Parts: sequence; structure tokens; C-alpha cells
Amino acid sequence: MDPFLAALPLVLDPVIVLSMVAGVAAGIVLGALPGLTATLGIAVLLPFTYGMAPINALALMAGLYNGAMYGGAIPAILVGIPGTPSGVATTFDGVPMARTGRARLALQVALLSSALGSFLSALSLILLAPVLVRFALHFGPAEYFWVAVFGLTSIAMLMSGDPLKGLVSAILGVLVGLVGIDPISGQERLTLGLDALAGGVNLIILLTGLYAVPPALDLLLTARRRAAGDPDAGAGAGREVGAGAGPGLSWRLVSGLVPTWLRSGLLGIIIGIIPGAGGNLASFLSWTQERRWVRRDNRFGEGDPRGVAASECGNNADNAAAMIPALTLGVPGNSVAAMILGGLMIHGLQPGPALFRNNPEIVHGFMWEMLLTAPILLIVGVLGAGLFARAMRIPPAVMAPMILVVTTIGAYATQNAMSDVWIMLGIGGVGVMLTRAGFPLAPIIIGAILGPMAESNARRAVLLMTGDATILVGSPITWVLIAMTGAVVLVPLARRLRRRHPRRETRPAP
Amino acid sequence: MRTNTPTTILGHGGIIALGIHAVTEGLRLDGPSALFPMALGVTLVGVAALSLLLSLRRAGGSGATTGATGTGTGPVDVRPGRIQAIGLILLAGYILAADVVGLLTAALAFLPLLAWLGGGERRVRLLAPVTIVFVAGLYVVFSVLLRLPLPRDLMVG
Repeated sequence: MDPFLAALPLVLDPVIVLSMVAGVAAGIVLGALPGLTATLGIAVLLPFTYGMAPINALALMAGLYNGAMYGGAIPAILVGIPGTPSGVATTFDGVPMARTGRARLALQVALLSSALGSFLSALSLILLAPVLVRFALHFGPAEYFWVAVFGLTSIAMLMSGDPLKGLVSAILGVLVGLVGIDPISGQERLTLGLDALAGGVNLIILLTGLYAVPPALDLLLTARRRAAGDPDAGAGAGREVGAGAGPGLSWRLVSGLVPTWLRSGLLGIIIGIIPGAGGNLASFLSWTQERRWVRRDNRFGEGDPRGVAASECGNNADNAAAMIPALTLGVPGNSVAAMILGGLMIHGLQPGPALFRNNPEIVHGFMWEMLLTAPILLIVGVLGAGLFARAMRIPPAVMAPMILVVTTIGAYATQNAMSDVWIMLGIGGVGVMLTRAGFPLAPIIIGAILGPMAESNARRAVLLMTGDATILVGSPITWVLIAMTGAVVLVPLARRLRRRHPRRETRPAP
Repeated sequence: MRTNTPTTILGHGGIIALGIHAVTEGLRLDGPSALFPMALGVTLVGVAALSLLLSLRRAGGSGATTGATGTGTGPVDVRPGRIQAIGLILLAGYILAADVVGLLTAALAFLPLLAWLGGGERRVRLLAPVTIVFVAGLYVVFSVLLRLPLPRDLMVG
């Protein structure tokens, strides 16, 4: 029996279905709360999945991932504050729609578009991952070294507005990945003399420290600003519109949105596969490309449902697509993919062809979960529309300590050690400092995953050739990977040079 | 997030110090184990120094804030660094207290304290029941349903 079909009964188990539903619902709520993202949700959740079966843990994460991406659209439409960064483009048309009495329609378009984007993305994962993994069978240690270098470089260059800061974060992440006993020589490295670090920095602790502590403290700051009457903090940033206001979807409108969904879905998938590009870029690019594409009755930025559809379909279409390089090569496409990859690794599952060969039920089960959470998103989204809209009213001053308490319990539960909680606090403090100095945090996580992969493969390659380092540039695949790495560095540089002579924009984004 | 000059210098300075530590660690290690820490340490120092120079040049050009106080964006005086630092100190206090009285009991004090820091004092009547319900929920989920072996707790044993 085909391994993909064989995995279906596994994910139809009632417990797994319940996990997917719970993940989707929790994801929508998290996404609807400004400041909370899918990454934070998975960071908080990850320690508690340690004791679960991998397929169950992945069901929760798949649901959370797809749910949170849609959840961000709810406050984006109703109050003009995007719940997640990828919801920003949704405000362009979502807010004018809500303010002209079409809030219900905007939310329905966002939900349907998100579900369709997730579905198309999962299809791309199902179709493309096995092809890429067959290709990855030709990879040796030298090729994997360059895959890691390419992944790190592209993430450092694309994930931040400042490539130098992105690079600094990526190198920091690689150094964090090297902490502990060197598996080849047995020497302790970068442990700062602490016994608790001899086994390395636990990936879960790193994830929770970086992705739960700084956002929770940011929430606290938002709350303080709101309490002080700062209009920029969202206290009165937008007039809240009832979720049930205005007319709903019609078949005519749905059929008119099909070309938008197909175009933005494809764009989101392509962006998802590129390491570092991520949901923010997918939603922005989908919106701007759709605005350029549509020639008739183009009212983008003034409440055009196609604008909401493009943004939401685009940002959800990159979800499962970002898992294609993660599952096949170990290179996560974005920070949530890095989290899910971390979730796999804590269960002792290493990405790559071996994962497909040795654990087909898990990898194909996860593909099914990404696919099934798309219709689940639609059902849960319709049933809980009013409830999710109310979730964004939870005061951030109360939400922040709740996140920190759950995170602390999670960090402790990872290995039943208070030392892990202290390490998490230290990492959280460093994360706050780095964020304040303008350094992106995602490259640190990806560096911590890809750094050890790069080092071990480089050393294995050189060892195989009894010390000859030319093996690292000895095959056509390595040449292609080196060229791709060079392009990732040079293309943004060329773009920056071009920006010095900007062309005039005819219609600026709102 | 908007950055200011002292934060930029402090952030970059910490990273450069870490890079130097990686280089010295590389000098201590033997064989191929030393290669990655040393190479990465040198690159980190170089890239962070370049980033610092460019950031300072940009800050000089745009007339960015040089003080560590205030957001500098409007009439509301909320000091982000101070709020975040106090938040981290309170979290450290929570962890310390959790080691003694347990994670759940310590949360009974931590939650309202942090909410108060976030301006939640206006909802002081709401904070007490929310805290009790939340901590009770934590007990049900983590101790009863998930059976997580949490540290000994003063309140629930």
C-alpha cells in the first residue's frame, strides 16, 4: 500500500482529530490576539508535546499553524490591528470593507481564503516533498553542508530588513547550536563553565525563551501604553465593528474570487519554499501582485474583497510549503517551520530521506494533518466566529503573565529541572535585548538547527576524503548550491543599489 | 521596534564580547573542534562591528534618540526598557519563589503583580478572580489531566 494512503487511518483516530480541532481553535484565538503569533503558540505548546506520540504532537502544531494564520485576520478586519504580522496586508481592504458595513463578508472571505490557501499549500507539500526527497538521495555530506549554508544565508538575508543584523543573528544561532560536548572529539565547547550547558542548549528551552518571553513582555508594554492612553498602542486605534455586521458571501462573489485564490495560492507556495521568505512577504506580495493583475473594477485599498482574499490565501499558502525544504533537507522555510522541525527533532526524528524511509507514517501523517486542518479551519472558523472575535478583547496586561506562567511550567516540564527554567529566563533576557537593538530572532533558531548540521557534514566530508577540503566544492550539486547562496547575497545588494535611483510609484499601498 | 543609541551600543557590544569569547574558546580547543567556534567568532566580531558602525552612522544622520528614557514618540511617557527589565526581574522572582512554594502557588502572586505592572490596576477587582480561576485551570490541566510531575507545591502538594 502507498505509504501516503497508509497514513490516513492513523490521522483519522479520534484523538488525533480532536488534537487538530483543538490546535485550530487555539491557533485562531492566538492569532486573533494582537502580539501573539503561531510561533509563540507553538513555543508555549512544544514542551507539553514532549510526552505525546509524535503524530499527536504534530496534529496540534499543524492545527495551530493554519489556525493562527487566519486568526490574525479577525482583528485586522474588525479593528484595523493585525493579530499577526502577516495580517497587515489584510487591513488594506479588510478595514474599508468593515467600515462600509461589510465586516461579515470580509471575515467570511478571509476564512475561506485562508482555508483554501492552507489546502493548496498542503497539496504542494504532498506532491513536491517526495520529489525533492528523491533528489536529496544524491546528496552527500558536502551537499548537505552547502544546503545548510544556503538555508542560513537566505534566512539571514531575507528575514530582516537589515541583512547584517540577520547575519549576526544567524551566526549567534550557530554558536548556540555548538554549545555542549562536541560529538566527534568529546571536548566541551562554549559552555561558559556551566554544567547545565554540557549537554547543549535544549532546543525547546531556546524556542520558548526566544519566542515566548520577549513577546509576553512586549504585550506588557502594549498594556502599559494603552493604560497611559497611547493611541499607537491600539487603545482606540480603530473603531471596532461587530463581527456579524453586513451581508455575507454569495456564489457570484465566490466564483469571482477563484482566479485570485489560484494566483495568490501559487505565489504563497513559491515564497513558502524559499527559506526565510515567510508569511509576511507572501501576504504583501499576493496583495500587490493581485492589484497589478486585476484590471477591471480595481478598487484595491478601498474595500475590494479580492484584496482580503489575496492576502489571506497568500499567507496561508506558504504554511505547508515552508515544510517542504524542512522535511526533505532539514532547512525550515520560516520560523514556524523551524519550530515544527524542532518538535520532530525532540522526538528523535531527523529530517531528510531517512525520515521518509524509516518513519513514513509520521511524515505522511503530518502531510494529511496539514491537509485536513484546512477544512477543519473552515468548520471551526464558521462555528466559532463570534467567540473568536471576542477573544481579542482579553486585556494584554492579563495575557502577558498568563503566557509567562505557562511558559515557565513548560520549560520545567521539559526535563523536570529548574535549571532549564533559569536558562529560559536568560535566553529570554538576551532575546529582549536583541529585539530592542533591532536584531531578528528567527535566524537564531534556524542557525541553532542548521549550524550543527553544517559543521558535522563539513567535518564528515573532509574526514571521508582523509583531510582533503576540496571535497566541499567537488560536485555539480555543490556548485549549484554555492551559486544559489551567492545569488541570495548579491540580489538584495543589487536591489539596494537600484533603490538609490527609485522609480516613481503610480499608486502607493495604503 | 524603534532602537536608540545606548541600546544599539549595548546590544552590539554584548555580541562582540560573545564573538571574542568564541575565538578564545577556539584557541583552547584541539583539532577540528576549534575550527567552527574560531571562524564564527571572528566573523561575528567583524559583522557586528560593521553593523554597529552603520547603525551609529544612520542614527547620526536621522537624529535618533540618544537617551535611554521614554519612547520619544509622543506625549505618553512609557519607558520600554524599564518595563521589560522589571518584567524580567519579576519573572526571576517568580522562578525563585516557585522553587520554594511551587509553580502554582507562586503564580497566585506573580500574575496580579505583572498585570499591575501592565496597568491592570484599573481592573483590580477583576484580577483576583481571574488569577484564582487561571491557577485552578493550570492545576486541572497540568496536574490532573496531563499528570506532569511539577515541583512540590505549598497549595496543592
